Amino acid sequence: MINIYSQLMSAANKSLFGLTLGPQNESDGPFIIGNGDFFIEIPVAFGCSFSDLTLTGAMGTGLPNAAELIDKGTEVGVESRLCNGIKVATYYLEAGLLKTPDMIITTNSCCDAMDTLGNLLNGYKPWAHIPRFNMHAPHSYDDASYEYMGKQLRQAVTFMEDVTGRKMDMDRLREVCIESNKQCQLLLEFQELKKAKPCPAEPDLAREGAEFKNWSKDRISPQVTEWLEVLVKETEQQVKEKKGIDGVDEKIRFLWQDLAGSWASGTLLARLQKELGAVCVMDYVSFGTWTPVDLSSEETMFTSFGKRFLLEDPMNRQALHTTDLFCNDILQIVNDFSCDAVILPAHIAHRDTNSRIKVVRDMCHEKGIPCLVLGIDIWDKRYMTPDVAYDRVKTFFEISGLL
Amino acid sequence: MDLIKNSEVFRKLSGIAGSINNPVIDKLKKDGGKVAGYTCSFVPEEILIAAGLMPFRIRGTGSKSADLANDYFQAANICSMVRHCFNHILTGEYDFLDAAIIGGGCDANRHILDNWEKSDAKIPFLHRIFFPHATGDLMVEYFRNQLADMKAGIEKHFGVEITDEKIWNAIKLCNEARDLQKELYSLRKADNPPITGAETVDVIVAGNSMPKEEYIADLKTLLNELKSTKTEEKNYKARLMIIGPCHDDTSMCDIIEGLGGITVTDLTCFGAKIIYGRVKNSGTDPLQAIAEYQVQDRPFCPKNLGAHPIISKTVFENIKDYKVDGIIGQNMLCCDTWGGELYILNKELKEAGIPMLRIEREYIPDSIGQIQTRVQAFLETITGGTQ
Amino acid sequence: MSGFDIYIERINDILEELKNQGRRINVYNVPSSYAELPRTIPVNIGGNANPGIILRQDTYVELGNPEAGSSAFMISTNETGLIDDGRITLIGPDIPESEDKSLPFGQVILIGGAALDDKEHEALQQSGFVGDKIEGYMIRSLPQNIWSRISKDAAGKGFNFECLGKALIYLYKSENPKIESIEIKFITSGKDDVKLLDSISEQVRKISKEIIKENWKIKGYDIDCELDCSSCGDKSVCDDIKDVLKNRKKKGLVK
Repeated sequence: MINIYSQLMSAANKSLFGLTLGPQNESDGPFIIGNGDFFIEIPVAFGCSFSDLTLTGAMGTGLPNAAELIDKGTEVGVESRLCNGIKVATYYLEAGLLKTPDMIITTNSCCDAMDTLGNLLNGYKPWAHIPRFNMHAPHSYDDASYEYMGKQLRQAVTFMEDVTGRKMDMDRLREVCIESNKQCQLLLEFQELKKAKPCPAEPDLAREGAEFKNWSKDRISPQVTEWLEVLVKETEQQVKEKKGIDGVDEKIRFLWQDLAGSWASGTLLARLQKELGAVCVMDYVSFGTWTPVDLSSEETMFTSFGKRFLLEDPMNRQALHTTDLFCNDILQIVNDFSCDAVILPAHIAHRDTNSRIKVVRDMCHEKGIPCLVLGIDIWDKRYMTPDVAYDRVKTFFEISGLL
Repeated sequence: MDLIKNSEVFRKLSGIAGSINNPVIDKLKKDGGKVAGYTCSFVPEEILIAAGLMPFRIRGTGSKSADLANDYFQAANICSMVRHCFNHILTGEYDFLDAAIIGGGCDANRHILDNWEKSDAKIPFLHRIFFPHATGDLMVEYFRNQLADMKAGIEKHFGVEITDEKIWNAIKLCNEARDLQKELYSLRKADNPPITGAETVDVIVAGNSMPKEEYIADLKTLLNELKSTKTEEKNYKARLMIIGPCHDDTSMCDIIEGLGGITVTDLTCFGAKIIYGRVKNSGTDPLQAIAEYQVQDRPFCPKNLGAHPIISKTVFENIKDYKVDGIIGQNMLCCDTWGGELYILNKELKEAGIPMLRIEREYIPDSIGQIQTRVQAFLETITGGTQ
Repeated sequence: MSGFDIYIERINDILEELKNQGRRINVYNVPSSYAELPRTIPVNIGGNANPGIILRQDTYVELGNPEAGSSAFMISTNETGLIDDGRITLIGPDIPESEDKSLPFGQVILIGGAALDDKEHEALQQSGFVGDKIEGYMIRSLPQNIWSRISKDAAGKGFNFECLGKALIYLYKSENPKIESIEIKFITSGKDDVKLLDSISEQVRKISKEIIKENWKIKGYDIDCELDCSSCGDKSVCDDIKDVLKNRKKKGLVK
């Protein structure tokens, strides 16, 4: 099977780091920095680049000098228990390592820590002259909320137009959305295939689905759509031949209900797969729920953007909203993907997840689903090493009768 | 200071601030009154009062442990204030509440509602409202809709009609309380303030824990006492301002004032933030007036992107007006929101040559000795080691 | 049961309106006793009946792609008289005539039972997750609506909406003994027609959410364990179990 992931990931890395930390490129167009998510189709259609500083920081924790970066982030001194991914981002910012943006667009997406990063961006003196726009992502998911968010995204476009003197070409935006819709359909198709037993595809967490959103102009392109088509076809072939992941004798299927972070994928999860046949068939960032952008009018388009932003962006979906949505997703994933167990990594800085652990644990208990709460730091493996985490998971599988 | 300690009305207010349930609430409940708890300062007391409910701001006063709450909220990573408040809920300290409105501020706070619903702690009516995290006309409209939903929920549950007239009257009442509280604060601008920071905390916290009319009457009495009596000359090393979340008890002020400093003002969730400005008390739509006040006039929570300039401006104005010598920036451990804000403020204050001490602490300060040492060293730094 | 009854009337009104607008309507009636239903369906029904994924190339027809339109919900009531037991209504084209098409899909399941109460609501909803229980029918993992595929094999065996309706009736009744009557309505006549259900589905979702919230009560679990094992009261039990497992493995009693 073509190792589509490494191709996509290296392109993403180059694109993202080069964008935020590399030299200024005229061809990148106007450059926007945000603290978190933005509806990426907008800057792509506008012909500008967008970088999510949170993701830049998080990806920094995957570099060979991650420990040093995290420690430097701690020295910055924002707050001692701040998420380490955000700490690295604050280090990049305060050390003056980031490219100066042309605009700053912030929102309270996902979590307090990302909000804090937004405040730091807004309060960063060397960039006091940079125009900025703040959005509010409501903690609700109904038609009124989508419309509200959509209006703000429309205002964001007006802001970009005012700053750059350019005009958004709505036809181009529609084109981008059509390509994006195609990509989402393919990703959803790929997701369906992972229901097959054995699971046909390497669950390279943090490399799938939602992470594509931050590639800026590189992602919404026919080339990526083509890659995804190949990915789906190859995976379909695996399913037809009833083949699982190379070298894995699948015994256990589990849901990893958090981000994989920067180290778990290549160490813990890979080892669980290889040594125990325990395959992570789904994680919450990879669980795509995208519905197509409604292109009937400008209004419906932006309302769709609002829905995508609030409900269908996986990180926003699980962090912004109420516990029942989080729990319903767990039940649906366990049911649809035939999961034998749920592992709640409970990343130490995820305040929202950590405010729900009892409810989730009790729900799983009630439904007879084995559930383990780990408590790792997904960005810093020194907090709980891969070996310790592996032992805990293995013991959990044994006690649950899965091994 | 003897004035305050001998003041009957102060003793009453201090007793109310130092406990959860209190004799005033007991009497109110016996007389058939109802009490609505709420968690964040953006939950408008005006609507609760207009509904005939007594607003009570939920806090964790007197909590010794958060063991029960730690089952719901991961202890190592969730703000201790939220955990202690929720622990009180689980142990029945808040059983006297007839309703609770959870303000969906930070990540931990907004999950109080989900966890409360799943717990065995009973509450007849539970509702959550969200505060917009940015400022603008759309956000005012959003918050006005939140208030309308809250109003409708209360009306339905309690079988009451909350008319515009009732809300306007409640606005006037709350504005009166705010004005009196601002008057109290302004007394602390004096070189010889008649009231300490710790005493002020008690007076302000009591204001969210008893019927508003009774509080206004008591506060007027206290202000008269303070203004009509000559205050003794006092020796203090430095005039300090406290910034940060919570501050619903006197622990920080006690430490500062025990070491010879005096807290003359603050910008905290239970302090100056809630007495800021006034809600417009006339117009066509009282909910709109409240929404504008909360979203545009008073966006002090650093969870609000874009709040920093207002926070910064207010801090610097206070430094000038209250002749502040130094700032104590205190945030709970795991409070990312205030951590970020204090970080930015620290840089600005440093540039302006104003000393700031940052303290990360637990809600129930478990390392008093350490905090005392740091505050002492800070005071020495401000005074240059001299009295 | 919580306030769904008014929506049953509204759904009937919608169907009547569509009928008056000339939509093609097919009605099937199945007997009240469900036990024999699987024999009348050309595909297997029950656990693991559809063990695999239906790939794109094996798909005969797709239902409820969000681009085509989808709306699905379940309503329950104690007023069994409001439900026409065993009635399956289809408005729009059927499966056999829709090869290679992507049809809009509205699915409304009406359930009646005098003894039903809010406590059963979650179980009734769970029955709707048919998963692998209908051969040749695969529901995709999209929360809030149904997006499904019917395989070429199943279509070749004659699978149609009458079969789907029968299968759903069988699964619901066999899993929920308190159900006395069940009626199913399918709409495939157009995206706008399916959209008419949206206003009802949003209200139904809100009521469902409230019911489920009420139902979620902690059932006396003695969970006092924090993440750190050393603080857990059951640590000694865990340690003993680990020792037991180790010994049993050594003796070859477990793998």
